[in-house]
Amino acid sequence: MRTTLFGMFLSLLCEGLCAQAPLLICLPGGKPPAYVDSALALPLGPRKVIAFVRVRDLEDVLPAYPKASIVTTSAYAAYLSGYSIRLKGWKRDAQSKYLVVSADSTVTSAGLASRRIGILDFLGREKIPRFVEDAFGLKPASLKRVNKREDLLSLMGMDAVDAVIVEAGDLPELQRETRLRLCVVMESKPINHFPVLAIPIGGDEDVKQILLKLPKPVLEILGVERWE
Amino acid sequence: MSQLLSASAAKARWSLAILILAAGCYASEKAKRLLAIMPSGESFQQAWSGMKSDLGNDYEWKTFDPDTKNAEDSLARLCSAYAPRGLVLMDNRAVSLAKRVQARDSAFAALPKFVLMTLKAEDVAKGLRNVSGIRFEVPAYAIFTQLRALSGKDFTHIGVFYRRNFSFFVEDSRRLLSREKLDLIGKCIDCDGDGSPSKDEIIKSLSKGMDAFKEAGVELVWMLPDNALVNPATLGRFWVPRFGKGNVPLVVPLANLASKQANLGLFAAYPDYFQLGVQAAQQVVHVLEEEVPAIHGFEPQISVQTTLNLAVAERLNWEIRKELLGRVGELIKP
Repeated sequence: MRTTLFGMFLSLLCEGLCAQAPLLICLPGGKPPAYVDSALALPLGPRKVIAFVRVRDLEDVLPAYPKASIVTTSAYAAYLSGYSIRLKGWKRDAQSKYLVVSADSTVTSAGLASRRIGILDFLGREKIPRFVEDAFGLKPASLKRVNKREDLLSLMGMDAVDAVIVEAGDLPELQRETRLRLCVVMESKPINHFPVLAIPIGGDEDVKQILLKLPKPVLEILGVERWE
Repeated sequence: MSQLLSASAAKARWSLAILILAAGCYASEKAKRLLAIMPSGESFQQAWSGMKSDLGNDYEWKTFDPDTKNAEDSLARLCSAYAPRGLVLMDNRAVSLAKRVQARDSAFAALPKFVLMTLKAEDVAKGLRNVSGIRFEVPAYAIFTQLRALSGKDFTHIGVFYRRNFSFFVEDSRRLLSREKLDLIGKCIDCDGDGSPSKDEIIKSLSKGMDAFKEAGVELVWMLPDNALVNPATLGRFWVPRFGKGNVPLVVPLANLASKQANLGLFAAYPDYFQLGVQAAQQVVHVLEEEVPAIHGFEPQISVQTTLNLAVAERLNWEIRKELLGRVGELIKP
């Protein structure tokens, strides 16, 4: 009898732990999901971590995990409803500009509306055009999305686009990686650019404490210097 | 009175029928359907998943296997019943089937078609109407800009062996790499003679080519995915002896050639099928949803999947930038 009760207790405990909502991480252009999953598995204990590189993949699982907290970009969090921001990931270039960069000297800011522009897809198909319009006041003829940061250079170098949009902090690395002569054609208005922890109403508030205690190397994987 | 009632009931029935008909017409006009003609196989499924994932709920889709019995009749029937707005053609078999159906069905011929996962896609698709697509060849530009970024090495001379049917690709690669101040030095293996060298002649030619590469200052060699140049005989007698312990890095087209067991390739670059599907989805939307439908043409594959062998890097004294290791799909640790 005692064994049965203990067994029931254990199974209830396990059920409770297993039922804990996972932490969803979606930082497009960041480290690959498997890398993030394995780095966070230990600090998060029984909570499952599910990392994504694309917003579309995150949105596919959101209905299944309505109580799951999300670590994502401030830009995407701005479009999330029913969540509140509990932590902001501090980093040096927390507010930044996005730049339209081109290797083609005939590309000018005046003519950008008729050009093909490449961008890292950090918001998903529907929201990216809204972001570009909001940040630059621009509706390009064609917007090509990529899911890996390095693919922006391939888009431009292989003439698949006339220009690309990059976050200002990424321009030095892009310049380092190419011998193309890059010119900044247009600057966006200042945009918040840092990871955040968004918790849904009635969600798991303990995640906040766990993230605050993450060691520095793990924080670096999330692109954060410290949480505020 | 009963006559009046039955008249109004009849009117109501007619109105309902008209409403249903109108709703049906509206629905069929609104339905955005795609039909993918694709053989079975994991890589095709991955590309199809990428495509569906990017298109989301905006499209409905069906697939058709080109290896089906009576494929021409079945496909023609399916197309007329399903009324897709576009056709996705994966692999040569799908393209060849589409050409046969197009010859007998003008409605099919008029449908926009998207060719994927087909080598020399533009050539193979010649004769198809309303065709766009993505080239399947893994672009040298993506491979070598990524390797240069990872290593931080400022290499400039890359050697490549090729057969004449790859000339178009080598020429195009050379043009794009030159923009990055990278010089692609090609050695055609079958351009002289009758064009069909024996295995021994190929191996001899590869070895002679290496001497020429040395003189030209080639710093690394790029292996193309060509069965005539990469097979058990050439691997055993040329590639492994030359690059398994030498000091010239080899860039390979398959992950297993950069594996721990192979101990051969420093870096492998091959198609990222899922991302290829995502790229194709964007092309579909662009062609089908422009105000004035346009034919998009063929574009290069943008995203590649990579494997980096750190043991080979160590042997070659190539330092790899640790901060960029996250970009590599598969890392082979020493």
